[in-house]
Amino acid sequence: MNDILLEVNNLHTSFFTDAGEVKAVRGINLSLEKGKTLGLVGESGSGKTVTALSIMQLLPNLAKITDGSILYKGKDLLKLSQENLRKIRGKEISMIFQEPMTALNPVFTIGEQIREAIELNRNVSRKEATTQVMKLLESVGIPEPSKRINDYPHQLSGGMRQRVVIAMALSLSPEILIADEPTTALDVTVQAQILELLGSLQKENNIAIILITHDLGVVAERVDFVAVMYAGIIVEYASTQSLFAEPLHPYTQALLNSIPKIEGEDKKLNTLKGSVPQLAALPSGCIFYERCSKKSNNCKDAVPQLIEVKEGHLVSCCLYK
Amino acid sequence: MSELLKAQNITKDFPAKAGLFESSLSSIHALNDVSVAILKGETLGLVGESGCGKSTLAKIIARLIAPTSGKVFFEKNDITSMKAKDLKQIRRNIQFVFQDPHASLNPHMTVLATVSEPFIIYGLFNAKEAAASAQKLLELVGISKEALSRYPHEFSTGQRQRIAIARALALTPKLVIADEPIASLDVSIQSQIINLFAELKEKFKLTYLFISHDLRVIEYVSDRVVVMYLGKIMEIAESRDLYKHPVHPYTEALLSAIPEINPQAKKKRIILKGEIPGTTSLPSGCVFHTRCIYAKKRCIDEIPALVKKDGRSFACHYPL
Repeated sequence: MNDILLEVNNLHTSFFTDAGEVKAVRGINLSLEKGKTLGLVGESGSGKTVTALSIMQLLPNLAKITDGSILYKGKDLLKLSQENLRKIRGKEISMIFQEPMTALNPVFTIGEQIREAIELNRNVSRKEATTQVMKLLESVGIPEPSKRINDYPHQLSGGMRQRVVIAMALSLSPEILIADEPTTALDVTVQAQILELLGSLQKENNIAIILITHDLGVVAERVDFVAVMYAGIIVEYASTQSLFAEPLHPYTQALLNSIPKIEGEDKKLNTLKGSVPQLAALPSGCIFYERCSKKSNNCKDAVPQLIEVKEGHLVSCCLYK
Repeated sequence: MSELLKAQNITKDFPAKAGLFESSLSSIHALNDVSVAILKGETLGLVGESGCGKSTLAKIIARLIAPTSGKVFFEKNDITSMKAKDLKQIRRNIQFVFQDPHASLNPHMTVLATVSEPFIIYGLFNAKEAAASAQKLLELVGISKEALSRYPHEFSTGQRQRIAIARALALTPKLVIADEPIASLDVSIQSQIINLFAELKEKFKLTYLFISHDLRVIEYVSDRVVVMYLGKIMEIAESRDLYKHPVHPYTEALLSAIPEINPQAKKKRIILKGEIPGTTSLPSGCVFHTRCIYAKKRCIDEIPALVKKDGRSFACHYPL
């Protein structure tokens, strides 16, 4: 298995707030193969974004990685100096965010912003860099790049801005792209455009993608492997085929059942009762116990481990032993 | 079913400011000759992308803003030309649930005060009776007794939306307009709120205008669906018919863009080219022609009228 680019082992990330330590990510393991897409799904507060920010080491000041390792091509990113880390961030691993308006600087033209990354990292003339920016803008489907290059972010629509952010993220041809809810702020038809674009860019450049989303439809269509997260841990991990064919964890099952199906019968939606537990006050046993429809007496105090139930299909639930 | 509300030839223009010190020259054409009826007891779904005029239409229907031209009739009364005093009586019958319950609830008022306020404003009950009724309502939407004296910030977004719904229902309105009521919620909470809407509809015999950009949710909740694009109605049909067989190319493209939950199913996807044009200068002819994969010359020259055929309405020269 030489194809593994990134391996996250036993990652723990906590926020140290005035009210005490909040464990946002509690021991997750992930691996990402070259050219493949790994989906991280879960609701707000499940730890998806914190996982991504941990990999990039772009965590806010309050947060710290307390344990674990993040191996990129065998090197532990957590042991690198800031200087060496900068050589990886952006060039090898790049990230795009949900809200492209906040990811872009409003007082610089989009051309300047993309060019900056190229000029800082590649030894090229301004003219050459500008040519590269044009090419990038063209490759992400921005019409008339020679005109648009002088536009400010506010002059572009949400979809166009996201294209610019993608162009910027790909400007240094990274091996890994982390996309955090890249289409959540966009309309469906624009979402379809952007997902299509990401897919074709991935194929062309053989990029591995970590796609963070709460939309299971996007996962089903765009992802090779899925990690379902809940309250800071992975509760289920499988290939997309396997996960949708036979979801094992009651949480995954409930999530799938709570989405209205088109052309399905309009019966009452199955819902999950309650909401995601507060990270500051997690229950001692199974974290899903309160909301689980399949719980038994054994579950309350048991702490299930993520175990392989079928080939490549892992689940963290006491029902499977 | 009889018509509860009818909007007739609604047009709404907003002045567009060219710059800080310039007088407004152009205008934003938010709605362009829109006519739609809401039938008693139905859930009418309203779907379309950002900027298509969904929310503007909803606000005009609730008479929160006035249309530039056109009329809205609520139970046959023209509410567009009504005086403020008479309008107050209509308002209790048309209630609104907004997308963001952080913004729609007053942060300085306890939950109980928020939900009892409508009774007091309309002089229906004294403070004690109002509180009792509010408590009952809150219980109905799933807010426990212990939480009544709390403030909005102490609740999760899902609970806050429940409170907003309780307030909207306080005066037993006939029409509830829900504008993206679940867009800011997590998937598992969304389904709770959708079910709550369904339960309350049955209990209070409500009529809903349900606005969402989520096509799956619209299909699930609606009896009939209105599809809008750039301030115009593209298609109106029974929910089942619309999803099975869209007649308007825009509806077709919109439906094809829904991510498929079943990874086995490979469906035909129409990727629309380009962007939604700006609303200050609308395309000639059919507003959708710039992105339509079937557009012909007639579509550029001639505005298609909304025609009725086989129980559905559509505005397209070349329906599918």
